[in-house]
Amino acid sequence: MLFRLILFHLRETLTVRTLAFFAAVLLLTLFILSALPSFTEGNDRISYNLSLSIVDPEASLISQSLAGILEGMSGMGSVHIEDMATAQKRLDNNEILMIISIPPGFFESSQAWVRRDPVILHVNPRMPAETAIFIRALRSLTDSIMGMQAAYMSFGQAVRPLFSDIDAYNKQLGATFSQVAVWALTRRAVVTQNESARMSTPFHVVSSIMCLLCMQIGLLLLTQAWEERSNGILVRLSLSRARWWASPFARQLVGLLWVGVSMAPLIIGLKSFYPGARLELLLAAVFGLYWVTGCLCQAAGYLSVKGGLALPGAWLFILALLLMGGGIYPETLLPAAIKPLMALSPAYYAYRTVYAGLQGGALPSTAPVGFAAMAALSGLALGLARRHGLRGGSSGVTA
Amino acid sequence: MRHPPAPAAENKSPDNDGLQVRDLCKAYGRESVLQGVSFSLMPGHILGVCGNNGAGKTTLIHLLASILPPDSGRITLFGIPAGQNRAYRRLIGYVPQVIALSPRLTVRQNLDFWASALGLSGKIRRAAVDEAIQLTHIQDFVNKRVSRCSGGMARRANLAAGLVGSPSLMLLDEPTAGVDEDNREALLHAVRGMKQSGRMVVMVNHYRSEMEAVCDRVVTLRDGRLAEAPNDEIGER
Repeated sequence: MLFRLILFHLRETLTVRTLAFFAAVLLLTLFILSALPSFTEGNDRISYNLSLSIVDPEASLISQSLAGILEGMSGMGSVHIEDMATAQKRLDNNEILMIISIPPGFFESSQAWVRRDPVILHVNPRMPAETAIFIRALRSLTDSIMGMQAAYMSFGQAVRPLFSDIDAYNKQLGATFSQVAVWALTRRAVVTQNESARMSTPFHVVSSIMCLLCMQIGLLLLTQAWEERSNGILVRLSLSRARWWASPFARQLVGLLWVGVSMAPLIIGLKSFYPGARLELLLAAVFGLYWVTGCLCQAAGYLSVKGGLALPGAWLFILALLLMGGGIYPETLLPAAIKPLMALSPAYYAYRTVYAGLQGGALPSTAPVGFAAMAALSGLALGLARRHGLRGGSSGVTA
Repeated sequence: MRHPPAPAAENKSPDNDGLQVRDLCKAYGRESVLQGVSFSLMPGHILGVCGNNGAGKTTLIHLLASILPPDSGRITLFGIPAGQNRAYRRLIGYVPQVIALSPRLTVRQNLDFWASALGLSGKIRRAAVDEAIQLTHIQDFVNKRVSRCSGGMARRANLAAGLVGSPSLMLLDEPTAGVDEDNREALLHAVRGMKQSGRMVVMVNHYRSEMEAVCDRVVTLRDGRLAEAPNDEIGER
């Protein structure tokens, strides 16, 4: 019976819509494979160098020191010391730029333990990746300066008894402050950037696209499950000798065939381009992600009363899972609120497995358990949704 | 083949005769749909159930098909209780209100699939499909894809799919809805054919006059109850 159901679903899914989808996937595959050589030439990157405009009306020692040290930092582009109008113009021209606006009297007030006006940052909202990276670096810098300032004030209090003349004392403090600040900055010790785990852009892009393509097949299953419910075939099947799981399982297997057909060119191309890639990891990731997404999409199809709304809803859900799994933005750039939820997305395990497979690395330790747990949960959801769909939920059966 | 199962002689009792429905109740949440529905139906008889939208006709059909569990009451078919019982379901032929066929397959391919789903294979399957085709008189378009059939043709093919495997009890949920005059007559003719071959038929519909033409008895579902002599056995007119 399972074989007959597989044939049935195969015929059901062999439509113009499916063929159009495969044509689109094939075109995308060709595009990716043709773009791979340029990915590895080094011109590509997930973020670009960030330029800096320092606006300091007093051209104080702080701005000059900052400019001196930041120019040499990794990830930093040009550093300009200029007026606000010029800096704002750069920002308006969509330069990858951040403006640090230092308020008047900032240097003097920093030497005294008094409240001062804050430094204001102007960023380019169209460059979130670069801005996020630099803001973190700047936070680290601020913390360092705060620490230095506290040490400086303690030093001032400790040496005060040694000076009977207050002017000599102030002069010594000023000199000490400048010297410490310059030493700290010129040693470049205030900000340390660890680039040992730098992200590979081609691997990120390929991993993300593989996850997306894999999950999209689930939409095909959603429409089939919805049709099965809405046209009464689900009810008829329940009265036949077919086991309750046979039809969803057969549909999953047919979907797996389509996944294989659509992803094979991409995987073969990747293997030839990255000979060190571990094929078994790529296949495991594709299978695991497809299986979980397929079950969830079928469940949505069985639950849906109006199929027209289910499709865009499922599409958004897939994008949300991909985002949660780090397949749109890398994990480091995700908001803190999303990070604890990452493990709840099947795309998280698939993305990491594909990435590791492309690198020729080992299977991420959490992936097998993650996939198994999600497959079990999604299977349970599918069973419950089918049961709900069979009994008509709260609508359609009282006509 | 599923039709007709002969009840064992030693088990001969009223409950073992045909379809027995006793005190059937069903509610969706606080909304009570069926309240103590009872009737009997003998082989070779047709019961028509009419009622307004939301009267509970489809719910009754789903309960008889054992798709929905009743809140209380009892349904037996030749002494076999309804529920998740496979033996009961094997005796049921269900024709839903919608066209429960794959539009991408031909009528014959659909019937063939449903015969397989019933566990039939080889010559028996082919014979079951041919019998259903003959009973519904759909030979003219049996090799046509369902998506290319007219509404009436699709309804007749839908009826044929329910007949595959010779079920003892046919449950027809508005089989003539949206069908033109010619196809309606062909459908009703097929329903009469079921009666002549000794099957039981429960048919729900909006239109009493249409059912009176083929049914041995027509009852009305109103406020969750059968309006006319619900506890009487359904006999010949």
